[in-house]
This record gives sequence, structure tokens and C-alpha cells, in this order.
Amino acid sequence: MNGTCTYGDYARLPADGRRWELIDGGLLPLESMRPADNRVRARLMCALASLLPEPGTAVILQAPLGLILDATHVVQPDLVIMAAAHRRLISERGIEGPPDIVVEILSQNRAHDEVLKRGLYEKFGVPEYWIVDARARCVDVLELVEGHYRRRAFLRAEDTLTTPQLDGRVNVPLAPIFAEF
Amino acid sequence: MIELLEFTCGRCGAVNRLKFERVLQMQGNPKCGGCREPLLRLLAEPLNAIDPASYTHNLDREALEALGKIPGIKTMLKWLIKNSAEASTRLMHHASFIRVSDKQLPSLYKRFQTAGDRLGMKDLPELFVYQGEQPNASTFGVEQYHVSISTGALDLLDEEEQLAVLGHELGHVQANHVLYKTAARLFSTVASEIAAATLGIGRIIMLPLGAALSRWDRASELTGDRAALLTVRKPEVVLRTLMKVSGGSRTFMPELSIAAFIEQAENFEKLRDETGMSKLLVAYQEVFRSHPFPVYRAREVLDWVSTGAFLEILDGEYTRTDVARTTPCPQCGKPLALGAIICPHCTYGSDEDLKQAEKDAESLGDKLDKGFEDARGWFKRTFSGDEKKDDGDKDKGAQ
Repeated sequence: MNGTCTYGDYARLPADGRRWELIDGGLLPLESMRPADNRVRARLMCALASLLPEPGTAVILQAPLGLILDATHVVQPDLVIMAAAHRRLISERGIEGPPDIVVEILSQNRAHDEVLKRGLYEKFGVPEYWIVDARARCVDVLELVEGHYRRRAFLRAEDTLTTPQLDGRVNVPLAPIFAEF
Repeated sequence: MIELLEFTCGRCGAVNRLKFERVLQMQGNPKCGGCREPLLRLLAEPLNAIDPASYTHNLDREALEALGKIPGIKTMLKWLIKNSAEASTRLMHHASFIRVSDKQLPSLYKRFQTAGDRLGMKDLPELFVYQGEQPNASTFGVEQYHVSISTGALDLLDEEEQLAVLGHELGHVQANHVLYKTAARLFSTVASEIAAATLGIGRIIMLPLGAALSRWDRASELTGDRAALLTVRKPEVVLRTLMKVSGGSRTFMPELSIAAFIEQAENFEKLRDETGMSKLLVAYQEVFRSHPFPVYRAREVLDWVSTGAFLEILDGEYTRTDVARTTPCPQCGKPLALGAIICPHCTYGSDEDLKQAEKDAESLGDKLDKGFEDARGWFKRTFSGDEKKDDGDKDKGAQ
């Protein structure tokens, strides 16, 4: 897929509630998030926010939100986490450049997160990429090593999520995140 | 190896804890503990319109990307297409192998169709059987693909295992591997030909290309194995096939133990971790020129099943090729081909195209204006006094 759209086109999209991503200059529609996935994201966000209290430590943002990687790549990650020192990346338009951690909750369109966005975050140098699978209740923690993502950990519901990023403050037991209703 | 695999029911949202051992065997569709309905909605169904990216192994993707960056790859592929080795190999297949059809080896052909069906494939390549002790199968072709399987493979493997092998090969077709695979296989001949023609200078250029090709070639087998999994839908069958291919003796067939083979694969992972996985792998990949080790492949199969991806795909959680082809136009909402530059319904498009569209519109306006001008002139000429004068002159002239 190689389109010719740019950020200008992306910014001009009508505000009709539909969300889009601009990848390789092509506009891709985003599915709305399933409630079960949304629940997992909300819980993860709350857990992270309590460990990384604002202001001062980190910034956590969630979609709808434009992560502007370059003129022809604008994506809407489910969660974005960055150290307070990197908050300069935040502008009026969105986030301009790779944040410290990007989190995607796996949707039915799995290749979008596992292949397309993995490739993008790798290319644009996002140091950590967490792929959260709410159905299989696991998290694939990828870290950038010499320009390629390598699996640092594959975590299940009984494990605890940690990262060397953000001064090692993140320490999230996954059981409550993946708990049933 | 993990003992329990957690899987959320797509219907009722209840979390099911499945014994990993039973997931590997997959005897029948497990029932959800919450709603009592079958857990995997597509277990007995074809995976229609599945995008192969849904099961592509990351090493495959990375190796292919690296391959694309090597100078010379495009020239070589072009050479391959132009001098299409296809015609000759295809002729060779037709001349010396048995072509499988509904009239020739019909039960094998049916298995082939089943494999294609399960992967949701509409067009199947040709299938050939060749005489060979080595249990092997391969896929060849540039524009027309053909799968060939050895008699050794057919004799060694039972029906389900044959299905796995056929699914593996069809996976290469579905994932568009075949051109590169053909390139990889023809490479040694091409390289030596070029080396001979250029007094060895070509060899220097061809070396990194050859290394990248063969590295990708092996990584692509891991994607093929996932296609095999999605075809037979019983991980143990794929593991058994790998075991038999790596050391299955017909004499000792009853003594072969899948459990021991899984254990071996587990231990391989430990070995791999102790020695530094990537270095070891890369080193071995350079040394071993053909397929990656079966035990390593078995480990990768187990690993993928344990992530839950295998179950999710069998429940319909995969990227579809038919959904993504069009997207609603951001402006008018009518279907728009993916990557289309401009919407034919409302002319929504990129900056340049908008400008072009404006220019076109302007020139169209100019033309219209000119048309009006002409029409006005004609009207004046025809009906106003000046025109009558003209007419009078003309009349005079005619007289």
C-alpha cells in the first residue's frame, strides 16, 4: 500500500467520529475498540498512572491521539507512555516523534498490530512496544535492540509487567488487569 | 512448557483454562465453560480471506526486509522472470513427475484440495509426485506455481501428516514466498554462471545476496509451519511430521514418542538460551544450507501455539484481505480502493491532486466560458442587427 496522502490530508479529515491512521501515505480506517479490550486498556492505564503520578514523572496518553512519526505516517496507538523529560514531543497536533513506550491492544485485525505497526515502531525507533492480547491474557514485551525488536518477555496473567524505561518505576501485576468482570 | 493456556470465549467472555497438552492434540472443539458453546468458531471451517500476514513469522518478515535492501536482488529477480526458469522446470515436472489430479492419485488430490480449502485458497497450484527416498516437498514457479512432494514423504507420513506438508507448501504460495524460494533454489546455478562470466568478480557481489536469500529461505519455513498448523489444526500432527522428517524410521515407527520429541524441543530452547540464542542461530543458519533444524522448528511451533495466536485465528481473529481492500472515502463515505489517489465520487484526494483537480476545473471553466462566449457570439450574429447586416452583405455577395 502506497498512497500519496500527507499529514495535511490527515488533518483535514472530517470530524465525523471515524478514526484513521496514515501509513505509507495511505489512509486506513480504524475499527472501534471492543469493550473487553477497552476495559483492559483502562485498567492498565490506571495502574500505570498510579505508578507514574503526574506531574513530574511521566506522561500517559491514550487514543484518540495522533502519533506523528513523519509526514506520511500518523498512527493512533492505544496507549503512549513517555518520561517527563520527553514531554517536549507533545505539541498541539499530537506527539511528534517516538515516545518511550507504545502499547497496542490486539484487535481482530491482528496483522495490523503484529506486523504493520511493529514494523513502523521498529523503523521509527520506539524503544519499547507492548502488544497486549486481552483474549489470550498475555503481553508480548518487545524492546529495540540494534534497530530490531526482540522479545524481552512474554507475560501471562500471573506475571508482573516491568520495564527498565521510566527509571524502573513500572511494576504492574497483570492478574487484576486481565481479571474477569 | 506451560500447562494451562488461557483463552477468553469470543461469545460470552468467560476465561477458559485449557490444558496445553489437549490444545496440542485438539481432539474436537473444546466447549466454553461459561456458555457451553464450542470455543473455536472456525475450527471446522475454511479460513476465508485470511491475510497471510496474520501468521507470518517475524524472522521471515525481517529477513525478507533485509533481502529487499541488498543491492542486486531486483535485478536478479527480473533476470529470473525474464529467463523464466519456469518453462524448463515446469516441462521437467511434466516430463518426469506424476501430475496429481482428480483422475490421478485422487485421494492425494482430495487432501490437497482440503488443505487449500482450510486456508481459504480459491486457486490451487499444480501438484506433482516425484520418486525420491528423502521425505521432502517444495514449491517452485515464477508465474505459475507447482508443488511437488516426494514418494519418500508419502510413504513415511500418514494422511494427516501429508495434509500438514501440503498445507505448509500452500502457505508458501499464500504468503507469496514462491518467487523468492525459486530464486533461492536457483541461486547457486545463477551465482556460478555469473561468476564464470565475470571471472569471479560477480561472485563477490552475489555472496551477500546468496547469504540473505538462504537466511530468508529458512526463516520462511517457520511461516510455512504455521500454515501447516492452520491446515491440520492439530499441533501434535505438525510436531509429529517434523519428528518423522528429522529421524523417523519405518522400522521403529511404533516406538517414536511425541512427548519425548517435545521435551527435546524444550531442552533445545534451554540450550539456545544458555549459549546465546541469536548468535548460535545465526551461526548455524550460515552453516546449514537447507531447511532449519526440525527441532528448532518444533520449538517455534510450540511457542506460537502457547501465545494463543493459533486458537485466536481458529476463532476468526485474523486480518482479512477482503475487508481492507476498500475503505470508505473520508469525505463522502463511499467505498474507495485502498491507496486510491482520489475519490471518484467526490474527488477527495491529496494536496497535489486537489491542485490538479482545481486546475482541471479551472480549465474546464475556461472552456465552458469560451463555449458561452462562442454561443453568445453566434446568438448575436444570428439574431442581432449586426448579424442581419452580415446576412445582407452575404446576400449581396451571393447575388
